[in-house]
Amino acid sequence: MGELAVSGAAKDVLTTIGLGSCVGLVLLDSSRSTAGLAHVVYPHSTPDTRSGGQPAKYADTVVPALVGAMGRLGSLRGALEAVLVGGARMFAFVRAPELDIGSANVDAVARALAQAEIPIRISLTGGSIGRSVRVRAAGGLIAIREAGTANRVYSTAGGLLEEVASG
Amino acid sequence: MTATYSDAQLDALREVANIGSSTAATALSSMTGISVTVSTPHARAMALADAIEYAGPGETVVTTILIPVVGDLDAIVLMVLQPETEAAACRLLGVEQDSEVGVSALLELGNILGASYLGALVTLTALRLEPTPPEMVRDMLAATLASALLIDVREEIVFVLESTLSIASHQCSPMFLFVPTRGSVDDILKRLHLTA
Repeated sequence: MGELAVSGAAKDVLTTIGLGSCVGLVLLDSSRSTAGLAHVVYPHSTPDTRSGGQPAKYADTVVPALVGAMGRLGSLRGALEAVLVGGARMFAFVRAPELDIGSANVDAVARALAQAEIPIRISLTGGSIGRSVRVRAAGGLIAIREAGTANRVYSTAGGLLEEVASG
Repeated sequence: MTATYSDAQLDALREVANIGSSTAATALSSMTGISVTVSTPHARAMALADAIEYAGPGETVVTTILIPVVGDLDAIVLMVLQPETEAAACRLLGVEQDSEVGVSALLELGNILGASYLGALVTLTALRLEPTPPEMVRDMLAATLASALLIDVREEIVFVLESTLSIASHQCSPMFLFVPTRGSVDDILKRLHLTA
């Protein structure tokens, strides 16, 4: 939770499991076969938390941090595509909008991506179900699983990020 | 983060849980008509991320009963049932798993145990705490716990109680998480005369 990882190695699989209201942000650069994954917990950082050294934990600081980490692998911002996973509302008793952290997280990450001019290709967000995401930089493979269901697999192999299989 | 609380403080919290356990046992015995014993051998204080990891593999689909608590402080009580624990609980309660009756029996189990722990805490701390109606969620463990613990709580310390229910030779061990709001952990300890 609140961590980020990037990879350009074919054998690496970046994983975050059991996303509820948290958001998994995937950045892919298919031209260089690099990928990044961050586990976003809260929509907004505060001056207090910004000094805590966990930029990936907050939607308003995660995008520059992940873009920076991808940059160190040689990926330019203009080549990046984004995938959003998570941001569910797991409990019915959470009625007050200010307590619905899930949708606030999705909105805040989407805003930050728009500001950075990074297009969102896939968004499997909202609802009331937990999700996991696994990413392999090589071939831009992304597997997303919702609780109790099979993986849905997406790939950039065809040039566009699209669903290639489930199972 | 565990080191923030002394053994004496955790012992006191386990004692609260044990007092609650005996109340719960009485209530469950009268509900089922069979003698039920409840014990709480472990009480731990953990950082939120550690508690989620401690509870089991994050992708396992578990059943969680969530009881929001209101009063002098806001808190959440969670009862987590691993699949095998849920099956055992249903056998103990004599209900069919996944049936409508099974769901309401599990909600009632969470209610009785949760309210008993809270009752003990109220008695010992003189805090006013009331449970609100429980809600049941069946989903990935990490998704459920992280989302519950992040709702308006923002306290990164969680109390974990592992309880064991026994009927004759059958046992089932649900895990309880008590998640107080920021600052209120110290308030609870102060009232137990165990100032942090």
